Amino acid sequence: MADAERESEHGLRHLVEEGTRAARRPPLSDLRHRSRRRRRFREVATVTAVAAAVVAVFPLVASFDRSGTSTPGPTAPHSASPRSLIATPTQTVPGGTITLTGTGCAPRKSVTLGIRWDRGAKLSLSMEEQKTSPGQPQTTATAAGTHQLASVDALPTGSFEAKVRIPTSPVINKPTLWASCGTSASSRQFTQYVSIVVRNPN
Amino acid sequence: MTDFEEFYESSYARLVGQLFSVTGSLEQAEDVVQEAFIRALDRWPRIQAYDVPELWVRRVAINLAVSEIRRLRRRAAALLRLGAQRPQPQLTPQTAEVAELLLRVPVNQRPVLLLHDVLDLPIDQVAGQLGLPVSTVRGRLARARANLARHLAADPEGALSHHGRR
Repeated sequence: MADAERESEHGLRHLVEEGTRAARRPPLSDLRHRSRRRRRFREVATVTAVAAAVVAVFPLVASFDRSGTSTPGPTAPHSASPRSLIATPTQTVPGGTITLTGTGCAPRKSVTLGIRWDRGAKLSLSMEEQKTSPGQPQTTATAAGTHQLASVDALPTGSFEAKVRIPTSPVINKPTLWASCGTSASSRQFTQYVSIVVRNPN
Repeated sequence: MTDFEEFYESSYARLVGQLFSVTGSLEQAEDVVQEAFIRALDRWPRIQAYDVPELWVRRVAINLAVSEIRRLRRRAAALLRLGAQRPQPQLTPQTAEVAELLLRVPVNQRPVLLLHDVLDLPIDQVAGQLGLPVSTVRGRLARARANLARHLAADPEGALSHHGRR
């Protein structure tokens, strides 16, 4: 076995010597070219990954003006028309009516309107609302949640307008009205939000 | 001639020869050494300050050979299918047989053979260069030698016997 190990060691040394003699060295310019190409590829891949991440995230985090209008995020993907959602008025009482006006939806497509509220909300639908919205679960007193209020079709321009009635009794915590629709630029549903104030009449 | 160019021209062939004993294939040895030189080129201002920059390149090439051997094999097979194979290097039949025997030794054991049995580095330096505990190096060395000896015993008229008789 010791002889075999010596022989293998000798064979390895010979292999290394022969490999050294047989090595084919490419010109250094070739290596430099490959290095530059790889750097460019890395840069392009990084920019692409960042752009993809921005495109994936920003439609969901459009910035909001708390005075009652919403505006798209600074790098939101381009659509056929600007996206906006305006509530008029921005303050009401439980059972009150608010007009929602918005733009940026796909022409003639359905727009769903609703209300959502934060944890700590107290929302229970009135008997009348329960009749008109069968299947909607009765919201618990402390959970955050959302409730669909209406549905309209967007105009050929992509804009829409609808009156929605704020659920009665008794107080909704930090309510936000939302409108959800498909856009002409993307097959994904795009949701816009606008904050409102619901004051307790008592 | 720049420092890097000088370094590249003086050490490339030597490193390919050494890595040949890790990959068992001259083409793969060239691939990993070239890749290591490209990485060295990107970091040359830092690497040229080292006492022996060649050690850094060899370490990177060994790591590539051990970790990417499967990917390199797939690529080589693809190139073969596309007909983009490089011309075969002129190797003696004995060396070709040794290379073939090497392929039967696990790839993570081959760098230990190179550094200790071919380059005559002491065990602790082998451990330092490979970033392994000394005990691991001893174990791999023993297993690699036993592996080669076993295959040699199974092939008594083969390549290593010819070398041994010289």
